[in-house]
Amino acid sequence: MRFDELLPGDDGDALLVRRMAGGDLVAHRALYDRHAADLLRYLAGRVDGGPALAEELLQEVMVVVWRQAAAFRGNSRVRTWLFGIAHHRAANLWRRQRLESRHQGPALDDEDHPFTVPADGRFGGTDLRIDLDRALLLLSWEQRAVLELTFYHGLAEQEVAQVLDIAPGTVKSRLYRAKTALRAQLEADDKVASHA
Amino acid sequence: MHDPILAHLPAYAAGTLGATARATVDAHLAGCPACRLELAEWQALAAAARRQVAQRVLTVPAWVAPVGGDSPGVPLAAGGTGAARRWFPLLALLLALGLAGRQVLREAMPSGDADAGESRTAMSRSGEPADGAGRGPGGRARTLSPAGIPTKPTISANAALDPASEISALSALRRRPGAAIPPARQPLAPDAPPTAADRAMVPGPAGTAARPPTDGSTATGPTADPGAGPLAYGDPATTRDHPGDDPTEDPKEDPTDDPRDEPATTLPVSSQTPIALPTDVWTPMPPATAPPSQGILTGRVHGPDGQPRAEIDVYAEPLDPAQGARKASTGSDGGYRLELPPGRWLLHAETAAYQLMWYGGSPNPLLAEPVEMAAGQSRRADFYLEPSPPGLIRGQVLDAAGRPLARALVVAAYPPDGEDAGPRLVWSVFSGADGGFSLSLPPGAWHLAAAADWRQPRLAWWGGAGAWEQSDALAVSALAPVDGVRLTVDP
Repeated sequence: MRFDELLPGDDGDALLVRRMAGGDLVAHRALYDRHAADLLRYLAGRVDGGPALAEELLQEVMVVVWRQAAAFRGNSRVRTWLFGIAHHRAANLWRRQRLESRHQGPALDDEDHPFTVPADGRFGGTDLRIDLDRALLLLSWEQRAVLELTFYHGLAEQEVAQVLDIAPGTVKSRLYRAKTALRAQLEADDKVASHA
Repeated sequence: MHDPILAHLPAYAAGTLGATARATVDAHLAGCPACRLELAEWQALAAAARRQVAQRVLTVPAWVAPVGGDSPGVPLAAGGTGAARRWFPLLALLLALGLAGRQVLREAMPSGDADAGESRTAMSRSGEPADGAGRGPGGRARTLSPAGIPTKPTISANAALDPASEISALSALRRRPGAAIPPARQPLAPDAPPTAADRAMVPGPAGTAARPPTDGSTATGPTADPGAGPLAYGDPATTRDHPGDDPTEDPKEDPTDDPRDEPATTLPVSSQTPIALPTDVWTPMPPATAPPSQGILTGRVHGPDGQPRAEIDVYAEPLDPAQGARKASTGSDGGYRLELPPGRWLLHAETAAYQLMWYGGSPNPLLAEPVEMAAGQSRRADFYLEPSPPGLIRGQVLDAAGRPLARALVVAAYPPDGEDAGPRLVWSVFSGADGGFSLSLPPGAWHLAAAADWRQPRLAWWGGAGAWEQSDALAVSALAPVDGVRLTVDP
């Protein structure tokens, strides 16, 4: 435990960034300790290339964070700011990766896809977890980013919008489209299953 | 009526909805099956998204200093940029002493012989600049990484998979970032109560780690012992054979300085073999009669020459604001003794002649090492003081009404200097009963700030600014003290 942990949460984050702005490496390390795990999880979902690439990206992000600490004006939570930097780096890399490899999203293989029929026709039941998890992978890169930031990292709609540099309304519509797409996917799966 | 409720449901499922809106939604849900079904969908989606993220098995890499900023992602190496070279000694020192040594030791200490041996090796290695500053070899780098963070959560990924507890688990996850990082990365609790095996080991290898190493790595002074984490003291019954060990004897009042009780100067710190110390090099045991509701903290304060120092005030500052600070002075043998209620405490030793030293081996409160006290248990914390730097700032801390403010924390920060900004080491001191303070500093330009409560470091910077960027720097020279500095804080 260190001094910074006496001030947890957003206030502590802001203090650390202020200290970083003054060149305090200990503060940088403390901020790293606080957020690296979450940033790494997010980055690993944004780029192809496995954990090693995500780790490399994380270090890059933290260097950018260090350089831009003095420019942080406190208009958002530090956490949001960090995710924004991480997303920006990841998006750049993802675009390059997609150009290089003509990346296609993972295709759903029907033959290799065990179904469970939902009792109520919607996807509320726990039996549907596997289907749901598969269907989630079919969502677009942007939709998954919104889902992860919202539901795993707990960012508010406004914050997700800041991270992704889009309008708050776009966040909302992406969430709804993701849900609709998942429902459609699962219903399509149902039909296939009942035919089989 | 449905529309505003529906708009809230994603945030509700995410657990990020405010309390008021949440109550509104709850009230509506009670009478609206359609919205409940909609919420169930969002919750299923949220759970799937969380599962997907939690499935990523990742290891957080060791922190890498972001220096050599011209080449992002490249760890600092000898022969880097000019700026990096200038940073290097200070940075390496900071990392090696303040961070690396402590982190490694903190993990290694409680786990017994092999780890203790390893820790010594790791510590001596971390004294090598290239290793201390750069990204270490994979295995050891791990130990420097956030494994050392005590706040790392204990919820496993599976906890989030239970639908019943998903909401509460999510809010817990949010408060504890990285909750699903594999448990192997959990830090060993350095303050855990000693097991029977630990006690049997005393004085054993864990104890040797707390001793100041006296080979090359001590050259840097007191901070070479940052790993001296809170050590569980041995069962007094096993070590009572020390002549000064009368359990009723208060160490600080012991008039006789046991000549054998010098700081150990010949302990082979790099040996892999646990060393059984002869009991007579050990300092006196704490009394066996701990009041059941309190823990007993003992230790010894050493001067820069390694000799015990008398009449040094040792303060215990509780992390729990409900407790007051405790103070004890060292006796002629340099020993002190404090009875402390259970909880976590930060310790510092203060005197006019030496700079304030936080337990953990730094004048920087950021690097202070807390000591966990438990009822009926004994802990030990030794201090190794450093001479005060030659510069001096004297002044007074006042509250908003202009009254003297006692026990305020005064800190000094080294300002950055453009591209060549160095680590901002922080010196600190507490104001006295009249609000007065006297802070020794290396010569240079310093930004000064004070905080009414050291636990809530809301700093008021000299120059009347709330942010250090707007504050004025004080020029400190070795030739004459800076007097009459007034710091006004609004508690």
